Amino acid sequence: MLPWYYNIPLFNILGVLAMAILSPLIKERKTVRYLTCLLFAVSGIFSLILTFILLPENESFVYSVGFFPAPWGNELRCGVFEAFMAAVFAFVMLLSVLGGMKDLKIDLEKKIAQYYYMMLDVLFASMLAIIFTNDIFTAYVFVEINTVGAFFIVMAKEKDDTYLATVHYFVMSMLASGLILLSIAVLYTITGHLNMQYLFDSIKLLYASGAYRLPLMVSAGLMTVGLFVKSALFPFHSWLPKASSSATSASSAILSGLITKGYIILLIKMYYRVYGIDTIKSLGITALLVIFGIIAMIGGSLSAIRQTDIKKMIACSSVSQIGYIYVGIGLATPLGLLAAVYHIIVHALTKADMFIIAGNIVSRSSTRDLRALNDVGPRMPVTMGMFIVCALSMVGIPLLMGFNSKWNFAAASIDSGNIAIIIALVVSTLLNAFYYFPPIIRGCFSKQARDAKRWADQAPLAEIWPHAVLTALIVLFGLFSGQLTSLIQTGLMNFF
Amino acid sequence: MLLLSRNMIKKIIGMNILDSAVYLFLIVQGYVQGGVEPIIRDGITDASYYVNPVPSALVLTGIVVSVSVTAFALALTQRLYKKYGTVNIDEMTYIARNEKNGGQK
Repeated sequence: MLPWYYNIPLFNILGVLAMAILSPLIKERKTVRYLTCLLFAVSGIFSLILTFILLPENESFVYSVGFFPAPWGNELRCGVFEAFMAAVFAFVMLLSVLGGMKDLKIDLEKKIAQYYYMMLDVLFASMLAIIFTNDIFTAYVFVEINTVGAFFIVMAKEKDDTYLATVHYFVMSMLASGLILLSIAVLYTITGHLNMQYLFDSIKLLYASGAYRLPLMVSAGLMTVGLFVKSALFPFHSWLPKASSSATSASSAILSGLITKGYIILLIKMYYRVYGIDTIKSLGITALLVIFGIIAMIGGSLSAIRQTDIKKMIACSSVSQIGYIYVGIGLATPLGLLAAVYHIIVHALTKADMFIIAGNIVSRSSTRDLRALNDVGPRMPVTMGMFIVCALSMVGIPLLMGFNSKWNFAAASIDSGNIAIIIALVVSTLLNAFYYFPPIIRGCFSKQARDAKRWADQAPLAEIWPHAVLTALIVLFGLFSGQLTSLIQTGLMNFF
Repeated sequence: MLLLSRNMIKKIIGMNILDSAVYLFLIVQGYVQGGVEPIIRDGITDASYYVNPVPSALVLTGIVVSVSVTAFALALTQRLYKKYGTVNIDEMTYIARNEKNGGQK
């Protein structure tokens, strides 16, 4: 008899998928909305419970789905890391939807609204499946599902140029899917397995024997490049600013904060559970990751400085933050991976918060142009205050989450003796400050700001409480980062 | 074709060719010389008489995925055509940019 909590991952995925099937059948739009949000909350709570059940003994388990045993059947694998990531994803998803609710009501056609929530369910289920699965083909199928869901939430707002952004996203994404599928096909050809554990064992043997070195390299390379594109690493990032600037704010938050992160988690799983990090290291891929990461850190920031559109600026900043995460993975040390995973959480919370706050600011000032937002500080002091907290966290001011993350990165790069990363970290932090601070300073202290009417456009509490919760989480995790770090560290022990 | 062609329909065809190529590659890997389809016949249970069923199952799943993605892409193209009156991406971008600039002035 299995302990009851072994069922949580599967039921999480199935429950959300069932909701996706049900939601177009429910007539009342309000009911769909409440049910979806409730579902995210319940799923998050269960994942959190699972995390704390598994935490004391750092337990991790394999749950076989269906009637066939491991080499043929499908499996889910769950440990502290996976459960906690699922919980973070659920709560960020919930708060992004709640925070972007007002924009959703404005931006979506009535007919589409229901399908939007359906697609959110599908997206969330596929992200959970990517986190939990122990089978690379299942991962591929859910990557595709995730991609289609992401297209839909980008194009759901039928104004602006969302269709064009979707086309751009579509082309890049489909190319990446093709690469990932080819990589899996090559991997299956040389090993005959799809299960991660069996793949790991046979790749280890193969690598030791020296046979099939080239196909292995091709497969790892294709997988890496495919996931680069899907997670918007710098040279392949152009879809992210386009898609998240024109989409509705909840979609932008989810796209930038969560969807790209799902693929990064898949990449981590592929490296540590399938190819084996030693193999990846000796194939030279980790060095590549560091180089691309550094380019992204600087390049993303530079392109953010040029933006005059507030949402585009935030999206370009995402590109630079994704560079940080890749540098952490590329270091291939426990500390580096810890920094990367910590930054995934930091970025998911902060970026989602920034996008929904920006959405609120934009919908109340009816412009996205930063130059026209000079009077925003006094007009909506609370909203702007929260935006400032997020920006400070992204730049890395102490007491906030972003600082701990930068601290982790610095520690990891000193540990691995790589000076270039520290320099890039400093330069990128300065650049972060360069593009976040001018709009904030102009927003609070410019001439228009002094003349603007105080509290004129401040959104009521009912509208901004999700923003406030996310901001509070950023501060809280910043203050109690020790606990969070040790939790992630425990979770990551399963990977080494 | 997926990347370079500026025509949406050609892009979709390119994507389908890419997918089909990968599926054929997978199917070939599963072929056993002289094997028949993996349904037990005449009580023979020795695996070497049958082709490997796993790649076929994978390809079947893959086909479902690519069919749905193609359907999505075609629907998107239809929407784009209704909005911009063309299936060429460059022209669409041009029209969209003009609209934006016109709106601002």
